[in-house]
Amino acid sequence: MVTRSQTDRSLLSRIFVGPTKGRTVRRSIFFLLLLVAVIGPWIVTHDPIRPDPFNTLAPPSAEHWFGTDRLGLDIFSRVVAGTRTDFTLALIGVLLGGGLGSLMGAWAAYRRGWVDTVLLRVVEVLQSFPVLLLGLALFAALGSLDIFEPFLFGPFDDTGKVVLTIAIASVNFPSYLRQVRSVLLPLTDAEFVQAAKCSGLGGWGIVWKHFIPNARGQILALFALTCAYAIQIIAGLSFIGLGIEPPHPEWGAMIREGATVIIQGKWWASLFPGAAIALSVYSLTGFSVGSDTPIDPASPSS
Amino acid sequence: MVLFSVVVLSFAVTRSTGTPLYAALGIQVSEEMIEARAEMMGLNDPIHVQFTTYAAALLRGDLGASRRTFVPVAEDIARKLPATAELVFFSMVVGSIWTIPLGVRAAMRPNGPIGKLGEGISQFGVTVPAFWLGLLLIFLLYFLWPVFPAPLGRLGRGFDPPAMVTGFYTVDALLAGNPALAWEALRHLILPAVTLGVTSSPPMFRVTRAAVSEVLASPYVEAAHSYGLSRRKVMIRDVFRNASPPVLNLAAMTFGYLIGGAVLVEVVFSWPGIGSYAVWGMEFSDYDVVLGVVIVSAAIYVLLYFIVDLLQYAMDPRVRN
Amino acid sequence: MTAAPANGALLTLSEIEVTIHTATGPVHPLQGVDLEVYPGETVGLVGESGSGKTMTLRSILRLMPPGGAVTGGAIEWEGRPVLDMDPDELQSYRGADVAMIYQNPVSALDPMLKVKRQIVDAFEANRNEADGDPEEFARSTLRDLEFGDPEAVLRRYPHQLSGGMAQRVNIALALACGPALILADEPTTGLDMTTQIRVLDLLERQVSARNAALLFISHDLRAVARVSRRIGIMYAGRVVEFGTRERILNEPSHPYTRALLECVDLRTGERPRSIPGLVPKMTEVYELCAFRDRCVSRMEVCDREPLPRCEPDERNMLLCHLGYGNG
Repeated sequence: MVTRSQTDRSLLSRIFVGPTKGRTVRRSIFFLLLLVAVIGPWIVTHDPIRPDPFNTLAPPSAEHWFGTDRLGLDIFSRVVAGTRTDFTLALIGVLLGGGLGSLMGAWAAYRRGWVDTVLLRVVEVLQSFPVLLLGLALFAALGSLDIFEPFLFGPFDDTGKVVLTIAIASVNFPSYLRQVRSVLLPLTDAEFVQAAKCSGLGGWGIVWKHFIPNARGQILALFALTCAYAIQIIAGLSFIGLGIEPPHPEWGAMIREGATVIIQGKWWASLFPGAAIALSVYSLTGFSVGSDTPIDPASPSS
Repeated sequence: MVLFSVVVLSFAVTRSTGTPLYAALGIQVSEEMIEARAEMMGLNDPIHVQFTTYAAALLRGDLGASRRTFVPVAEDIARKLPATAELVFFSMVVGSIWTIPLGVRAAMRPNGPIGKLGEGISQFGVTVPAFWLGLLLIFLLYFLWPVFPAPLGRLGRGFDPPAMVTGFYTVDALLAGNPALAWEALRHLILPAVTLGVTSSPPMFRVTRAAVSEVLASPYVEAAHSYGLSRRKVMIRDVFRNASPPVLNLAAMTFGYLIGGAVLVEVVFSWPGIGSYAVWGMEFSDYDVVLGVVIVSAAIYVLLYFIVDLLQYAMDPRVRN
Repeated sequence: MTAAPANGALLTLSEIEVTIHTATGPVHPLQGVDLEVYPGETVGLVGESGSGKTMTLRSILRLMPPGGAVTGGAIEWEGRPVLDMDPDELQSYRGADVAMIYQNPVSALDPMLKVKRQIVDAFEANRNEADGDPEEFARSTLRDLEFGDPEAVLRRYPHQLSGGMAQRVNIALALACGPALILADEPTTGLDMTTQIRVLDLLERQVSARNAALLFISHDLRAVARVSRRIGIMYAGRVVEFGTRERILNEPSHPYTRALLECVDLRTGERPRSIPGLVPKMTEVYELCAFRDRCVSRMEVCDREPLPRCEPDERNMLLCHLGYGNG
């Protein structure tokens, strides 16, 4: 299955690469969303988790800009609060999986031989799960565990969030491993690597000082794409009831809430959180480097 | 090899969690009943024994049974797989209908209106979450402007499924000589298929465009023109032939994406396929159900890759060497 | 623009200009190319890379790269204006009248098709049944091109051919079209020395056996001198000197031609030297002589007036303020 490894990154970049035009607009939207994620608690109009039982399923109005949901929660405030939830989880998940994947990819490229073979096999197995089903399986396994209890702090105030992060990490691990490995494989014989070996730098030292900097451009290009994808996966899993459960504000879970009433014409409960997802993904494509654009390999620095 | 690892991994992952029988059976069962059930299902055996039992059964095509309904998982999946297959197939059709012509056209005229249209559709399909698009379509085309039937399964009330031949209701109804039923099945199919098709096909558009423009710029296409071959002949003989391997390869990858996406779309449209079955199993911590679906879809995925590899082999003389 | 020559020329290029619009701005690879090819003759064009040799050939077939167009001048084939041909006329002109042999032989062949299919298709696109059986033609042509087992070659795919074999297959493809003129774009560049000579001789022999004309371009003056009756020297998108092989080799008039000849001494085969200075950038349009910065005979008039054209007879031409007979 050589074909798959060759198309791996190009598939992801082909999913999320947008036209070069309008990049500035998309980047501006992204920074705006990032700002919303940071200052969210100060700009919400209502407490995102305090229901108003006398004002359920109210359409958008001056009081509730985006309306309220079945429990009478203010949708605008929840969409704003959800920005932080979704961005944080996506970021941590991608950093975790991507970081580990990049390191392992560099290691595989450096060691080759059986290390490379074994890691490639692992990646192949991980990738033969459809992404959402991998998430499903992870939740089946870890969702009811209480081993995470001692670690619940900060953004991880809920087991679902931990599992969600693990799911995002396991989806990203293979992509980064493959990408970094394919960039670095031709470098293992490069002179500066040989020189570093001669100067007595150890394996991990070479990986850290020479390989990672060389793959930096590729890793960054992949980063925006995988974050966009991660937001969709988080929302998707929460939509089917995994991960973040109400009343935690999360876009996918909000759409799930709204789905039950859309047949009755109550569109606002699912429209706004969905639009937030779409906007985030759209803004992130502003950072992707087109797969046709050659990425300038950073000069070997030390 | 890959499949075996998938089985081991999924098993390890889903079984590593104590006895999830409470969730499956509900809370109004006594301790003894659970214990008996667990004993019967072999859940008290050591994990490696459980795995050997499971693997041996798997080889016979036995995926265990639902802990809630006690219906064998393999049986359930066999019954539900055609619904997912029909959805995925029609999504593939929806995807190909627009991506391939538009991708080819966009490659021929990179700055033309068709290319921009294709780019616009794919940007939309990429940005919008599938389940949300499904909900929007339901709101627009069922609630506001009732063109399509209620998003509740494959057929409306008062319709019986056609006799099973292919498992595709549309096809089976036609085979049974019942065009009204086929129409009903199609009406239920369109919205989910469009939802899934539009959100999964953007890579197809981009790969088609990239592959065709790469071939169009190749020396052998210029050479073919220089020999006085007609444009039509060059398109069919050289361009399509050389551009198809990458498109085909991507189609297989899209398929994997579709199986994942189907989970979401099936939930939105109450589509009785394996995706919503897995979600149902998840809700009741019915892990053999989840495990079964995961294994079956991974198997389909691997099988598909194998078929595509064979096709590549048949199509491309360079692969054969 | 000059009027159509009534001198029996097969192909006439007058003042051809090509502009390519790229992301970084327009490029002008051809800035007024003049060229004539008579029936049955072999013409060679020599120039450094970037001088516009390949673009000249592509403009003859109107095969422009994306963003490129012939923006000035006229091309005439047997008196018919090529630039005014509609797509149908163009299609029948390509191949049947003019066929081309490409520089990189393997990539000019469709990787997915067997040699046989490619030759048969080229044959059928340009000929009718009176010309015989296409497969028989393919076999006999490959035999003419010294393939020991033509049948085996016909069954192969391009990637199964060596460079020399692929180039001979390309020659067979061009011959299959039955053209009156064959364009050869550095057909021997990628081949090793002995194969080069062999392919070149085969090409020349097969072309003359079919009474076709050959327009051959190369950066290698020796290869050009080996096969051409007349030689044109290209510099910065123009043909700066054109004449019979004897005249170009023995009495070169343009300082650039002389410099080229000094680089490759044909008699001793000494180590080639290079011409000092840089190849001009084709992002500019040169109204004056583009070579004057590197020219050893630069005069004051060179910086002031556009190049005069000396054309003592139909077969010789010079673009230089020095004029003929200054050597």
